[in-house]
Formats: sequence, C-alpha cells, structure tokens
Amino acid sequence: MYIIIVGGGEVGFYLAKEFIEGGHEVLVIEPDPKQRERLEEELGEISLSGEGCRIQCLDEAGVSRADLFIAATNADENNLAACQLAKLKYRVPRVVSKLNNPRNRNIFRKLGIEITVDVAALVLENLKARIPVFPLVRVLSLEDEDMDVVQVRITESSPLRDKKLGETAVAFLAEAACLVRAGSGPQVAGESTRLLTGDSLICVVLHDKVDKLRAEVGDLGASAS
Amino acid sequence: MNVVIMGSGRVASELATLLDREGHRVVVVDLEVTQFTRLPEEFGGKTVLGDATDEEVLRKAGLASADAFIALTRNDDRNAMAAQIAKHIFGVRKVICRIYDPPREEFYKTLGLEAISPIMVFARLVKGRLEE
Repeated sequence: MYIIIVGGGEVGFYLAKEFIEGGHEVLVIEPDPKQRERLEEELGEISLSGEGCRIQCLDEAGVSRADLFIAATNADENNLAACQLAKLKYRVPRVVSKLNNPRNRNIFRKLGIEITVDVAALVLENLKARIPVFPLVRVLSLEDEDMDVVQVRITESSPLRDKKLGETAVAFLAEAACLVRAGSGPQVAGESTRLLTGDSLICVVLHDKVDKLRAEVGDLGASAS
Repeated sequence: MNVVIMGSGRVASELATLLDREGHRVVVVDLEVTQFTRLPEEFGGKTVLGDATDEEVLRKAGLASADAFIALTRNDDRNAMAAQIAKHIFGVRKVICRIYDPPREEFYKTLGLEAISPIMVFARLVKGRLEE
C-alpha cells in the first residue's frame, strides 16, 4: 500500500515506523525541518517538506495514487482541510484523521470525514481502565461497524450484582457478552449467568447504545463519546 | 441583519465597523483580546473571546440566530473549518470565507462554500485597471 501521513510528530513517527516494518510505501508530510531530520535519521528518506493542506504539496506527494491517507497533526483545522482534500479532490479510498479536540468528532463526521481517532478519549479510557471505580470502560471502537467493545465491572455497589444476566439491561443493550471471572477462563455469558462482585463482562454494544448501558451499570459520569 | 465575524484583523475590523454603522447587529470573535483594539470606540457590536472553530464558542457568539457568518482570519484552514460549521451545523444562510491560497479557493467553491481569495481579487482588479 502507498500510505501518506500528514504530520511527523509522535503519532506520525510511530505510525510511519510500523507501516515501513510492515513493508508498505510511506510518505510523511512535515513542514518542520527538525521533525524531518528525526524521520530521516531513523526511518530513511520518507519525508516531504510542506503542509498537508496545500494542493501543490499534495500533488507533489502523489496523493491521487495513495491507498491510505492519515492526518495526524496537532491542529484539527489542518487535519480537516488535509482530509477533505484527500477524500474529495484526490479520491483516496481511505482517509483517517487524528482528533485533538473530542468535540470535533461530530463536526468531522458531518463534513464527510467519518473515521476519526479521538486521542483524548483514548487516553481517558486507558486511564479509566486502570482505575477500578469506573464500572464501564470502552476498550475498543469499531468505527466502520458502529460498534464498541466495552468492559462492565461488577463492583460491590453495582446494580447488576447478584442478578442473572437475563434480568439486567445488559441482556437487551449488548449484542454479545463474555464473562471474565477470577480463577476461571473467559466464557460466553448466557441469560442465566449470575453476576458476582469482581466479575467483568466484555460486551459488544452498538455505538448509540453505549450511553444507555453506561447509565444502567451505574457509571459515575458520561464520557465524551 | 445579525452578522458574526471570525477574526478581528484589519479587514475584519473594517467590515465590522461598516456593518455596525449601518445598523446591523455585529458580533466579532477572536482568539486574542488585543485584536479587539482595532475596533473603533463607538463600535456598538459585541466581542467574543474564543476559538471560532469551536462549536460552543460559535453558539455563544449567537450563530444559531445569525443571518450571516464571515471568516476572516489569516489562517485558511481555520476559516474553512469555521465556515463549514456555520453552513452545515448551524445552517447559516450566508457564509463567506477568506481563502488566501487560490487553488484552495477553487476547491472550497466545489464544496459549496463562498470562498474569496484576496490574492485573486487583487490580481484581477489590477489587471482590469491595466486594460482600462
């Protein structure tokens, strides 16, 4: 695949590294000579000096033959401009943007950039996953399928505790659930599975049902989804 | 007319002043408070400090009831983003944005934005004078 990454900061750098190791052709567009120097030193001649929202630069980069275009700068307005050009002018089949401000997710979607990765939300969910007081943590977002994988923890104060799965909201809000219980391996959770303190459910949930589930399992606060 | 202007540079301040004098209700949004000093003392409109690519800031500036939105910062990307939010999220009837880079002016026009490149406007103006 030919992959173009706009922005050679931390995210751009490690993405480029992984793609190169995977045998792909990679070009990183980066205006800052210092960042380019680092890319050149560690990854070879894979960078182009310029800005990903300039048409001259995108022409030079050969965006029209790119299979994948990733905007990973620290400014959402740059990412939006670059992605809109890649998608609408150069017809790149897959365009992905890093989101710096979680509030921009819907804006990007409405403006045609459907695949975004919300960096702040990822950090937040990762931190929450390590703090046991949060009863619901998003483990993974499957954007294309409009689904999320979430972990529901059964705590001492959980409204789900000591109930059968079939009696709880999880039964109708989640598409599938897997029970994780200390001392035994993961198993498919059924209607009659009784939920005990310390259990975890790994659930596949449609994106627009996550907030409902969150309320049902007694989450402390709504997350920026 | 209710008009929200993004940016308070030279052009934006001139425009805000002209519209204010004609009796329109003008709101100017800028990231830097010092930029508002360009507005004359008798300016009767409102100023909002904040980032106009942020939906909440635009709401605060009254975009929901605005008849027109004009993006006039120095940054093409920010102008284009704010203008698209105004048009597609708030449904503002008249949206104009300044796009310096002529090829991108063309691109945003294909997206249905009313984009104006001051470079092209001036070049055409001078050419017109030459041909007079």
